[in-house]
Amino acid sequence: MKKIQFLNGFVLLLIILYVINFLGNAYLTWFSDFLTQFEHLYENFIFGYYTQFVGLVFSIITFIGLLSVKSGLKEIIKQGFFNSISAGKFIIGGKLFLISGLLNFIFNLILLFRSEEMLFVGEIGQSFLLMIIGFSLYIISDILQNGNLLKQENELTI
Amino acid sequence: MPIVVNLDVMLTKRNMKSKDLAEVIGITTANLSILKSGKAKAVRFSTLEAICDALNCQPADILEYIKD
Repeated sequence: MKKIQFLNGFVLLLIILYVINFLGNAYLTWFSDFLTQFEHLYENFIFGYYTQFVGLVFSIITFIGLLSVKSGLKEIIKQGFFNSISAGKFIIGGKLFLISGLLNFIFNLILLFRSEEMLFVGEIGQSFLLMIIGFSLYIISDILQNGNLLKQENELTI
Repeated sequence: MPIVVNLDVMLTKRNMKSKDLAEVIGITTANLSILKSGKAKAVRFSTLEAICDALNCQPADILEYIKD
């Protein structure tokens, strides 16, 4: 259970980093003229100035997925490994990671082919990693559901 | 489920309380209640043996098959 508590703390740290990232980006975009000097860079991208906000949407999807995983881990700490609530939360988290990773992958591919001056090969690797994590969460949720069934049967064996 | 647990009938015949039986066979009253109500998924041979020993009866006196 200590490993789960460590993972829970790590996910919490990631959530805090995401919030700081959102707040920092919001400040730089709307309350400061720091980014105006880089606006000409976006001219080469497919969506122009709005390219940066597409990435933000994927970040929000991943962030909601992280919240779901955090909630699932909290239930594991409360009720033990095999419970249906954690399985449900991990399915939601897994789906969101898969969607975010897939959309990010497609978006980076478009950027790769349409924006000739910039290459995002490294980011495509990150998208695959996110998809693998999402798929792993799906498998873990299946294990938790099966374990929950076995646990219930064992408890009802007198 | 077509398997009916007639533990209540045997307890009445032997004039024994559920709490006493649970104590003798070494299971909790909550688990005995699950067994009596038919919610149990399975019964261990060791539990069945202890019940038969405590109530001086046969497994057939406790378990009955009634077709749906």
